[in-house]
Amino acid sequence: MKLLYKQMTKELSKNYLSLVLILLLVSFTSFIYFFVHFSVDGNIATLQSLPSLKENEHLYLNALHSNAILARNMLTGSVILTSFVFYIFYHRFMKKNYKSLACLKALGFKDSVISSLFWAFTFILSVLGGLLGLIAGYFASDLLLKSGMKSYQMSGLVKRIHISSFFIGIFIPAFFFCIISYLTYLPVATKETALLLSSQTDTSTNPFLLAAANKLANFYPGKNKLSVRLALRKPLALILIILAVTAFSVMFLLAYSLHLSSEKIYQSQILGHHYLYDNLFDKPRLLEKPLPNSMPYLNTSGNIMTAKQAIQQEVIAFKNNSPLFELMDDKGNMLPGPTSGEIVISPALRDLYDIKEGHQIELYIHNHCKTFTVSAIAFNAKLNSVYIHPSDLEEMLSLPPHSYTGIWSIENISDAAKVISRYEKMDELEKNFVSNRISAVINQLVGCLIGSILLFLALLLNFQDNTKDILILDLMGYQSGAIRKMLLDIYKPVIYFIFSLGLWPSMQIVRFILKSLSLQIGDYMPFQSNIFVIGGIFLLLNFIYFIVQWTFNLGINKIIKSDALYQYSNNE
Amino acid sequence: MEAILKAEKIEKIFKQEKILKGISLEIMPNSFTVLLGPSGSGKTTLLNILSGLLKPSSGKVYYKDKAITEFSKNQLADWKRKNVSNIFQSYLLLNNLTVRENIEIGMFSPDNGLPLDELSHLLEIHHLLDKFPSELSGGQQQRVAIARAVIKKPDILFCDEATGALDENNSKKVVALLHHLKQSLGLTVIFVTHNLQIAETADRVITIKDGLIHQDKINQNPISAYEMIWG
Repeated sequence: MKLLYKQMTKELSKNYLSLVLILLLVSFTSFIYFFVHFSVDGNIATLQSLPSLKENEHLYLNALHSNAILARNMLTGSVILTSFVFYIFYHRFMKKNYKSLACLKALGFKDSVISSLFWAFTFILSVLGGLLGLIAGYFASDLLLKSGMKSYQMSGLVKRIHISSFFIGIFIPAFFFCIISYLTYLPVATKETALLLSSQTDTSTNPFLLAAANKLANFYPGKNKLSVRLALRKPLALILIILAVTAFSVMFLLAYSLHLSSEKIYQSQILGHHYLYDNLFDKPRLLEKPLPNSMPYLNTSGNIMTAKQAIQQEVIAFKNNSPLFELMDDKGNMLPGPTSGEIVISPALRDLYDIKEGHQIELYIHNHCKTFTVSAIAFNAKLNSVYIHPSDLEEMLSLPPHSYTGIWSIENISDAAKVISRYEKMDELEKNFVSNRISAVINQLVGCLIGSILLFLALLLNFQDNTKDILILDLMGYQSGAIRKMLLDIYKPVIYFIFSLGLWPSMQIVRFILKSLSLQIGDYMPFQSNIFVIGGIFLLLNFIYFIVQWTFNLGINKIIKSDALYQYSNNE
Repeated sequence: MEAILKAEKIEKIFKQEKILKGISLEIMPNSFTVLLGPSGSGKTTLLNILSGLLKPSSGKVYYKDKAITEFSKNQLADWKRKNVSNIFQSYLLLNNLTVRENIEIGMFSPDNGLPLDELSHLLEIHHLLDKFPSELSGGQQQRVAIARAVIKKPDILFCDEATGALDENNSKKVVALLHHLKQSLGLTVIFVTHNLQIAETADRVITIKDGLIHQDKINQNPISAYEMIWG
């Protein structure tokens, strides 16, 4: 048993570069999770143990929950990606070592014993990577704690992790990776030993794939048909590149959206909101004469009923647009206020619940229900609010005409029950989105790193598969530049192609993530993108490719200069 | 004497082609049997089925009255570990283990095996014990593979073209060694080859042709390995 482990562990460790990259991927996977949970777990527990929460504590608790959800989603995505990398690694390893594995089986080693080595190795690698992520996450969580203290005026924040988070961050990924390693051993376990002994030990693909690759390559214009053919013959490397480029694009777009959504929401609450004070009253009042520099409104809470659920909204009613507040669309054009039977909704309702202009919706207020037609979507609608005509709200609340519960004003109204200044409102918005911004920066960083590692791995696996071809081409008199051009440079157009083809799906993935996040957290995070972001992703992909290419150029030269050819021909 | 290995109506179909067409045979203990035949005759397939590396499409293989073809995967693994060994044409040594470790990995239990030093002297590989397979010649590697196969004192040794990659001298040495081990350890050797000279050294020669036993001959006057004339 000891010798079996020695043989296979040494064989596995020959792929040290791939293993280091996988270890890094595992570390990043758990880092994303622990970075958040070190700053979340202890503080959620503390806040939840308090009998009542202050305003800032309540906001901070919400932010902690939103970060925890984001971390869980990121962990899920990273585990899926890393599982695929583990699959490719072990799939290739098993194929290359069919004969050794068959030899071990012929010696009488049971499949359970041989496969245990792979999952044990995977488990150790995963736990090691997880612990590295844990340590890095522990130190990096200072960032989130400091921002929490600063933005929410919190004190006494603790850096602590719950035992369940520890297990989820370390052992859940390890569990999935071990399952993958076991699954990749199944072809060895199910194939008869004699057939394994007669198997090809290289990573060649099946004849169907070869034929398909050849046909596809014929569509490629220009002289590089051979290169295309060679690239297409390695479908796993191609899938890895697709995943790498898509993951990179998704992470970047998500980070950008998270970052800019804060700004967009912030802007939406400034545009058209010209009042300096929002004065709220305990009970509805009657407007007897027009008030100078002010705009009265009637508000209450209500529920919009969709087929699936009730969406709680603040229902606001005011007579006409005024210089203090005017509803606007996303192009900055003024919108007419709703007439009776009409409702103006926020972009959040459109994006999250698919409610569009012209739709009929039911609004419930204190057991009264009325159907409204969506007349417009106001970009600058107050968060979680809808607007209807005062006569409709007065009727639903059984109030006389000219009732109001709040006043937007330039000056502070002394007898108001509660006054929220513009400064206080903006400050609150700021706090709400600080955590998003930090998550965005971390996302951007981790996205770059994971994308780079995946790209590097994809090209590395391809490079390793091509070692024999490199030596043969060198023997035939090809220069290293020409070899590189033939075997590696083809991946550049492949990456461009995948990037342009994968951009739209990536955007849809980001939209979906943001929508799910917004629904889970309750904070609306709109999708944001522009040509500069897309250009930025493209440039960064090129930069990563350049680094990878440079590294492999060194590799090609090293192989050619070494006596690998001699060793290779002797071993064959 | 009772047969140590018995095959009953063995058939093997690969990709709708019948490779073995109902072979029955019995192998006596402590015998040296050569399965002879041209390429594609089915001799290696038969050896793989007899040694449990391949399942027959139909028919049964008995080892001392136990049907190994009915064994579970684990029972089969135990049987391979305790009772039989294989030697392959391409040696199949484990490249990350030293010669010593490559031999030790073939031992089922440290208490029951042959003394490694004694065996390595017999096979003239005692000076190579700390080397790695990549540092050895083909002949040396095959002798290490033999050591790995016999260190556990198996009942049956299955050899698939064990001299196929060796030159004349090394081939003679290997065949001589196998005969010596058969005598000294009481092994049963089943040797697949297409080499008629090796067949001349065997106690019994079974010729396979087109998936059937073409001839089954007891060799009355086997020659010694060193008397073989390499063509």
